[in-house]
Formats: sequence, structure tokens, C-alpha cells
Amino acid sequence: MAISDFLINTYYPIDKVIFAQSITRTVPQATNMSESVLFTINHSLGFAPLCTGVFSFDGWATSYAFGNGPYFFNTSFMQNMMEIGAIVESTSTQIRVMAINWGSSKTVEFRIVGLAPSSTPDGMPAYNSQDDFMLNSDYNYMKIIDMGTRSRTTVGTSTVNHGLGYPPQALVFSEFGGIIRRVSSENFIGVTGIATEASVDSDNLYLTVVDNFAGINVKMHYRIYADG
Amino acid sequence: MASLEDFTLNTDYGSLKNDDATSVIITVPASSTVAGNSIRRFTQDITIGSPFGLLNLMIKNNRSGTGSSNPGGANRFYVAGIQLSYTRTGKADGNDAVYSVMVYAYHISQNTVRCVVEIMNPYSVTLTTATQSDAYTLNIRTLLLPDM
Repeated sequence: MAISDFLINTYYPIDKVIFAQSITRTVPQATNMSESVLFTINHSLGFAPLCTGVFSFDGWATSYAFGNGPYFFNTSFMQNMMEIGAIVESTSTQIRVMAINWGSSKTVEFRIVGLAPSSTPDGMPAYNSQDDFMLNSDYNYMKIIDMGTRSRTTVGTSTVNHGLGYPPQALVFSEFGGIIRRVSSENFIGVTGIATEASVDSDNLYLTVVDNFAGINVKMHYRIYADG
Repeated sequence: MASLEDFTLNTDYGSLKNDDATSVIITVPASSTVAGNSIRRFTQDITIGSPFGLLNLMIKNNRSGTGSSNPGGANRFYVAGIQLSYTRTGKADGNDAVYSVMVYAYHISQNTVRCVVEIMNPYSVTLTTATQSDAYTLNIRTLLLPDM
């Protein structure tokens, strides 16, 4: 049987959730690019987790992954653009949610999940949530076949061979200046001077630094799953 | 002591439960038209997963090329950390006209995901899209959120 046919496979680790929190905040209407808002949550993990999540501004009638949002015609700018967007970042002490809203003021619930990175220190305290059971045979658990980091100080692509023969699921984050974000989200709100992207085919995962104006060390965290 | 991620399973920590997966192909026909200063959306709604899971999204375009015309490269799935934008050239008022195609997916109800390919016409006149059709494959996997 293929690795991906198993719900879990004892040869391969699975993602561990070490942080999960929901916050509800008001995101006021922005009139210019500098009017993004930042919400912070302190944590005591001692390192930056790999964060992802979803948000909703209509009581979960609809919801969007971080880095996404609906489009509308902005009469202030007379152009079509994203109405509201948000990203989540992490540092060794904080989870940071950054949002910008070009529509009317909204109350937004953000649901954030932090995964243990591949270099998680020893001695982590237990994190119990998740209805207090870990495994449920109704569901698949994405099996990590490879994870780690690649660093670059110049533009270019680092290739990670997986050799599965099909394009697998992958999760990629970039890190510089002590902040970790989902790949490609570096300039989603504001400008960092760094841009990254990731893609995958039947043989490899490609981790690309597209822009790096200051020669900063960009570390890309990746995890490749057996699940296609 | 082994580090946390060296364990296959560890009962001290929850995980993300993957409850569904599917692929959707949305095609933009060659020479489609988009009215001036407007958006034309090609959508497909799918019933997938449990209410309001996380979306893991990867996107592939059938064209060759790299850079803004085909982020991630030809025949590769782009790992979508944000909404993905492709650049195309069509015609507006008889002249070459560059436009953006946004590709994304979001929940429109508790377990319905709308897959969207969206063409934004920034010109005041009708935009005619590229003379080659574009097929976008969205590979979607939903994951249950832990309790919060």
C-alpha cells in the first residue's frame, strides 16, 4: 500500500499543534496603506511556531484562509481590490495578526493554529486541546515524509528532492528578522523587500527567494507530506 | 531526548485532522470578454469537509512559462500561502492589454468551498482575454481546526 493510503503510518510523524487560539477584534476601515492594524498574542513557547488559520467577519457564514479575502470595487480608489485581508506571523514571544480592511468597519474572528517546527526544543510542555483526544480513525493524518529548513542570502531556488512520483502536499513558511510567515505573504500587507514562493512537482519541492534587496538571510521552513 | 517532531505520535499534542480532499479544474476560455472596469469570475462550488476547516490549497496552471505568467513554474503546483496572481496579456480597444488573474478558494458556507478564477479588467473598455485558454487546477485539502 502507498504511504498515503494509511490514516496514520508509524514510520512518519504528523503535525503537532502547540498553539491554538481564537481572537475577535474590530478592524476599522482603512483609507491608506499605512492603516493596517496589528493584533498581538503573547506566548511563552520560547520559539516561533509555524502558524496558519482562518478568519471570518460575518459570523462564519463565510470564511477565508489567512492571505485571502473577498474582492470588491473600492470607490475611494475606483478599482477592484481585496476588501479585507489578513496574515498571521509569529516570533519567539508573540503571535501577530496583521489585517487591512478597505470596506466598512468589521468585527473579525481569527482562528490561529501553531505547529511545532522541525527544530522544536526539548522539554516542551504538553498542549492539550482538540476535544482531548488525538486520533480519530474517521480522519486522515497528513504524514510528514520530510521537513526542515533551507537558507539563502540571495535570490534563487533551493530544491528539495522527495521522489514520490506525484506532487505531494507541502506547507512552507519564510523566516527573516525573527518573524515567520506563510510563504509568499511577506508583502501581503506592507513591504518587506523580501518575496518568496514555493512549488512542487512529482520529484521536488522548490523553495524560491524571488526578491531579496538587502542580502538578508531568508530561512524557509518546509514540510512535505505523503498525501497528494 | 528526542525533539518533539521526531515522534510519529505524541499524546501530549493534538494534530490536524484531514477530513477531505479534492481537485477542481476551472478553465477560462480563449478570448473571453470582461466589461470595462469590472471583474469576471469563473467559479465552481464544491461540498467538502467538515464546517470551517483549514484549507490547504495548491494551484497549477496548464501554460508553460515562469515568473508572473506562471508562478512556481510550468507543470508545478504552486503552494498557495496567499491568493495567487497570474499576469496575462489580452486586447483592449485593439491594443495589447495586461491584466491579472486571481485564483483562490474560500468557504461560502459551513462545508461548501467556492473555487474562483477572477479576471480584473482595469481598463474602461471591454477586455478580451488571451487567445489561449487557461486551465487552473486547484488541489484542495481540508483540515479540522482544534478546539479553541
